[in-house]
Amino acid sequence: MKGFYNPFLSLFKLHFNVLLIFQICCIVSLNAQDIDAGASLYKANCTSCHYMGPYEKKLIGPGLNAEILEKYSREWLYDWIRNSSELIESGDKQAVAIYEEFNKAVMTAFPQFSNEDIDNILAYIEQGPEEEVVEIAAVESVEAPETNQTTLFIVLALVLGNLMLLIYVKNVLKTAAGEKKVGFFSSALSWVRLNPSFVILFSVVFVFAGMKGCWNSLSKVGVAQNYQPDQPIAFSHQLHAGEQGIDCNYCHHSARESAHSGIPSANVCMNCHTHINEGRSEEGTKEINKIYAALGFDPNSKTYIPGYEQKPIEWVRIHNLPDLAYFNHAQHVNVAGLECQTCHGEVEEMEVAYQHSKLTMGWCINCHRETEIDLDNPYYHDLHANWIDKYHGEEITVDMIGGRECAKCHY
Amino acid sequence: MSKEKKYYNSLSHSRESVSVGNEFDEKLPLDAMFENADTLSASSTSRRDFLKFLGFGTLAATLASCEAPVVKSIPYLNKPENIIPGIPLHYASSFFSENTFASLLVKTREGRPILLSSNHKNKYGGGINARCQASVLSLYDSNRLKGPLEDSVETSWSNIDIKIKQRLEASNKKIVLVSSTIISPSVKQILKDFKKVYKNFNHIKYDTLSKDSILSSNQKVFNKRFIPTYRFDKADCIVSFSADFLNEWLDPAHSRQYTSNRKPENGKMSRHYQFESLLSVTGANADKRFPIKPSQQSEYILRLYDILLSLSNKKSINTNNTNHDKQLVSIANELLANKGKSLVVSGSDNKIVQEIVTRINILLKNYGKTIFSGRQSNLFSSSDTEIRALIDDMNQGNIDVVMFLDTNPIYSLPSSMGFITALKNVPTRISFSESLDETSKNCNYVCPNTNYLESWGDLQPYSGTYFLQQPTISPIFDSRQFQDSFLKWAGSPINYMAYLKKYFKTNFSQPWTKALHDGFVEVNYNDRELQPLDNFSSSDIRGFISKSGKIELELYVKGSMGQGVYSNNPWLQELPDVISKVTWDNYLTISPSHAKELGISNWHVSNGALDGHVVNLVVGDRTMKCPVYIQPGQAYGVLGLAFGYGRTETGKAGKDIGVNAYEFYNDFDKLSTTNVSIEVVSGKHEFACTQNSHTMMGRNIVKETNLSEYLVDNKSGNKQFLLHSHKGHVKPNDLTLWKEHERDVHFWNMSIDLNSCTGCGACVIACHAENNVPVVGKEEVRKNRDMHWLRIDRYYSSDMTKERAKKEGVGSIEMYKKMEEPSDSENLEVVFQPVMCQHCNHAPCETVCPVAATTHSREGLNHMTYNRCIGTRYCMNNCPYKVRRFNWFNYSNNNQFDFNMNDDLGKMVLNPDVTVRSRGVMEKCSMCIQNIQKTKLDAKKERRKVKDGEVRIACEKACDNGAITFGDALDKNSRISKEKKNPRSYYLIEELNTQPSVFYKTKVRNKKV
Repeated sequence: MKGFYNPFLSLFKLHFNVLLIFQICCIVSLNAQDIDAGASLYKANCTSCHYMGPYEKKLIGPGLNAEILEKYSREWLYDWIRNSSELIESGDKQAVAIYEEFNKAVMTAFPQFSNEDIDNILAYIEQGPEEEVVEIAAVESVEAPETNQTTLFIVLALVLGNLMLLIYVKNVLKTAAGEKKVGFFSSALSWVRLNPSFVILFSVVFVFAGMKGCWNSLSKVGVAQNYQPDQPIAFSHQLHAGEQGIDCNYCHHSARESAHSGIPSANVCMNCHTHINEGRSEEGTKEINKIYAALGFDPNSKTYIPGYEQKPIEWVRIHNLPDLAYFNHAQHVNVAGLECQTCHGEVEEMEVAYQHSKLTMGWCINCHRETEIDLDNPYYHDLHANWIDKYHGEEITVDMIGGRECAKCHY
Repeated sequence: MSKEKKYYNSLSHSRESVSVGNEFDEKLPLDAMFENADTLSASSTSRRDFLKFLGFGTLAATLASCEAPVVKSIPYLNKPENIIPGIPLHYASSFFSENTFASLLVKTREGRPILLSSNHKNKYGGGINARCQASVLSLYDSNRLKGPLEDSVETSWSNIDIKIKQRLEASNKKIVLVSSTIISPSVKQILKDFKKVYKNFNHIKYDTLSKDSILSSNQKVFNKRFIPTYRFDKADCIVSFSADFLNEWLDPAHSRQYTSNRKPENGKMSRHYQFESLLSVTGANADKRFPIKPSQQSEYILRLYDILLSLSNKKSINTNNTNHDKQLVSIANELLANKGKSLVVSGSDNKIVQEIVTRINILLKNYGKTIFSGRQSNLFSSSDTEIRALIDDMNQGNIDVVMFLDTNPIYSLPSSMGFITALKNVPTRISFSESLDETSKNCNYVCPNTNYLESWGDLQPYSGTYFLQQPTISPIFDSRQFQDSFLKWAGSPINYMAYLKKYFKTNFSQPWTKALHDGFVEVNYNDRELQPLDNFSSSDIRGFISKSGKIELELYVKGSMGQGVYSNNPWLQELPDVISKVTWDNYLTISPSHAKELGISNWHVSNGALDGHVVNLVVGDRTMKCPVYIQPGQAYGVLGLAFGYGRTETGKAGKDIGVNAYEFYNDFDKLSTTNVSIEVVSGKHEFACTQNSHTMMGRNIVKETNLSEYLVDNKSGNKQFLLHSHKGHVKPNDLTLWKEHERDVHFWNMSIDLNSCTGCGACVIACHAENNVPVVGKEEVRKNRDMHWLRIDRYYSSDMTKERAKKEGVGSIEMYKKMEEPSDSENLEVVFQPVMCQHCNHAPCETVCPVAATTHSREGLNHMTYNRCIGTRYCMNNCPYKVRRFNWFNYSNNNQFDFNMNDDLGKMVLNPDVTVRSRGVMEKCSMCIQNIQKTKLDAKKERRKVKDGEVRIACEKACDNGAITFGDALDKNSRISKEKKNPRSYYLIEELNTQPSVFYKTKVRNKKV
């Protein structure tokens, strides 16, 4: 939003912010303390088994909303949450009914919760989720890059306008001084004749700038930095790796062992999405359903459809090294202990994944020149002493032990 | 002016057939380049149109190249737990084909088998030879059948099952299964069960190259039909009468045994005498070789027996003198001196000859020491009479249903036996062939069997060991294991996998998964030696000595092509023959003196390729047109012809290549001693030969010594080369201009023991498989454009030496001329030398590369960077070892090279860790750097040092004889560091001071002095 003022957009923002603040104030005035504490308890302990919503919206347990307060007494809820199996054993009718309904799955006991804690959670449940609103607020800052372009045009237009104005003023002044009116081109030509050194300088600068431009554009051939293709499933790293904090290695586990980091197979998705059937929005649910369509999974009955013709998911590969270059993830992730982000950027912030680095040979080599090897690795043990003598305690980089040799990557 | 002076650049240029005036020998294909001038002018395309198209085309190409293609990445839906993309998995399995057994370790990548190696976990087990090594490519043969056929039309398995079951049930005459030897105990059980359902079922064993002579002779001597197992490692004196035991005779495991007793470091070596007609691999490795005619073989064996009898004061049998009586007496004495430590073997197809050989070994007390009649080999079992009886039965219409399994009699029986006409009398003909061959083409049902790498199975090649075979890939096509077919037709409810498991559980106590993991289990067997019967009478031998003819024919087996099952395997077709170095062909071999007499010659054309005369070979009433190759070392008056060629029904690589030698395999006898003649016919034949020089020309390329000298001085034959200099005599390295390379982490070195290398070529195929080496085809090999990263040079000894020339006062021109010719006497010796990139530390190739595409690493390797190479070929010219190969074309995705790399299926054998090279770049041995890098990474991941012997490169792994050792020379305790200090070790062409990372160990023979 730098430099350029968009009255409509800012009006909309103002309006929106006012609306948001108003809403939040309304909620806060109700029972501020309780709901915040309840929300954090709920998120920490309940989300893995319960959705917020009507009873029928089952995850592992039933969906939770204000209805439960009508259906069950507060005392009953205290007992149930603290230790449901005790309640079932005591033969409580409501408790046994739930137990039977959910295939005799016992709810985790939370004896550490005080009545107050449970009240807070219930207050949070009663109020219902408010995220939807926040989500929209997060979306609107995306269009920033376009305005930069517009700024450039405006500046150029201003410069051009001023220039024309200057010429106009000059001409007016000349007419006023009674000088003979000369054509624009002939005057420019005579000026050029009078200033040959400037022309030479200008042409040299122009030619070199052209060459540099060519060089720049040529060096971009085959470089797919920022390549961000559409994927068959709109998978969000921002949601999974960022918000949910899932470790990169959970899905890309072969990065530690193999050359390939690997695109996770659908059964890895199903480790969570057997239970998580809904996204945060309708679109999200649609995307999750694409995994089910590939595998033939019925989210309602939580079973795989027998005899289903499974369809592989055709992801679009983002990082494409040429065939002649060999890259091994295990070497970098496992042995060198590099963070994924070193080459892939802040993946946990990417709504749609893209290629962060250039992946050119110069980029690889630079890193090899700068990165120290892990001398603690027993692989290097008896070499250590020699190297201290040889390099006088200098840091040993990958380059120094042959990390720049051709056939380390090309064979 | 007088006649213009002509300069010839080779002898062949002086021939009239070659035009000397033109720059190009062959007419330039101008027509093909410009098409026809008439059509060109008649074309409606104007010059302006042409320019428009040109402009548009350039623009379109530029635009198209700007956009990178979208690459899909498709993961598994349900990833099998043990597969990690990028990491190979190994499975233990077994190979049995062409009566050859090998216990294997199969390397798979993402579910595709890509490389085979020996499973060294078991002590016995056959060795892995070139054909077994190449069999992984045959898995991806696009010529394989895609599904079952009924009358040559594709059909479904359910339909074929119904039809065949009807026919089997309706059969009231005989049902016959013709197969090669079956060594699977569970299959034997299935066939027994099958016979219970179909009482009229019979199993006929027919081995293409029968060993009935050994089986029958043992029946007579021991009263049991069997083949013993041999231990060449325990024999100190080996006498072989044309038994090519290092190549095909009975078992490839012999090669490993043989070389293990040929290590001079042990202070002793076996002594090996070979009497043979052709120059075989075994003969080439022998200490003393006697070229004799085929008809003399039986005579010599009998004579040896006679001498042995008289020397051990037993009743002599009357035999005639031979040309080599003096040597035979000396050999007999040596054999007697090594009683219980010797071996006499014969490759003869005559059962009386085999009986005498058995008697000789009994006399020498070798049974129980070097030959075991208790531990038997099951690799051959067929009886020659069975197949003859079958033909009679078929002719008489006694057979309703005939089935063919692992056999191709229409190809492998001489047409004079009339198999094809007899077969027409059988109404139901079923074949289990993997692809359509000569026999299955004549069958009305083809039930394609799965490849052995897709199959379950069990094998018992020798008594005492039981091997398992497991699928390493799911069937690529709609094929089915023949065992499943038999079970189904016999009405069994279970499939073969369940059957095999059940069979295993009932017969063995070991856990199934452990057995499957190891690939084998040891079983108890009766190892008591059999007692020979004393029923030999000299009257048996009367008249068995073969009649001698003016010209005799011996058929032989090439290590590359074997019996012809793998004829459609382009790797094997392009594997040079061990001795002749000819690819893509079979031919009549003839001795040089005989050829000269008959006016037959081989000559080189101007590009260096070899051409030869063509003759009509007449044996009895059969005539065949064959090319002739002049083979030094062969006995005078003998012709040789290899089996396995001349296939008419096979895939594109093997079809109509060479001639079918089985036409002359009459009465299952490789020898035809009478009624053989040849006549030269017009025309010439083009050979594709990878080595056109025969001798070392007096240079020290292969260093050689004799054991007697070695025991006195262990540096004998390996004299240090010294240069004359201002400092006096110095080693080449003392005068170097080069700076030493830094060495700190590793220094990879390789040692090649010339005593253990038999020249078999398994390493060449392993190199193909590991490094994606392309096949270039016959035409390109003729132009010396073969792409083998590893070649095996073969050198013949020459009668002329520098010393002799000096002594006899022969001029140097005359001397070199003589040196070019291999010895034509009995004393011809042959040496083999595998040569790959020597990874010179002072590399001549590196200094001449204008773009630094070939560089040196700190680990002692010479790197070749394809993406940097611009194809000047300077490095190739400057390489003294001539190991660099240039990609003249794109060999993948190119219809001109329609081999495995032009085929989606064939490409599945490619190693994903190695680049497929493109046109215009140089390539060469990389020391399997992908394996080195992988092992280093494994060590770093596990936070440890690299262990000695952990890096196993393809050729080392393939060499069952252990001729190749690879390792880190900086590791003081490694095997390679010890090899480096071995007094036998030397560098190839050391005088050039290239400082290779590869070194050789001198060849030591054990000649009698």
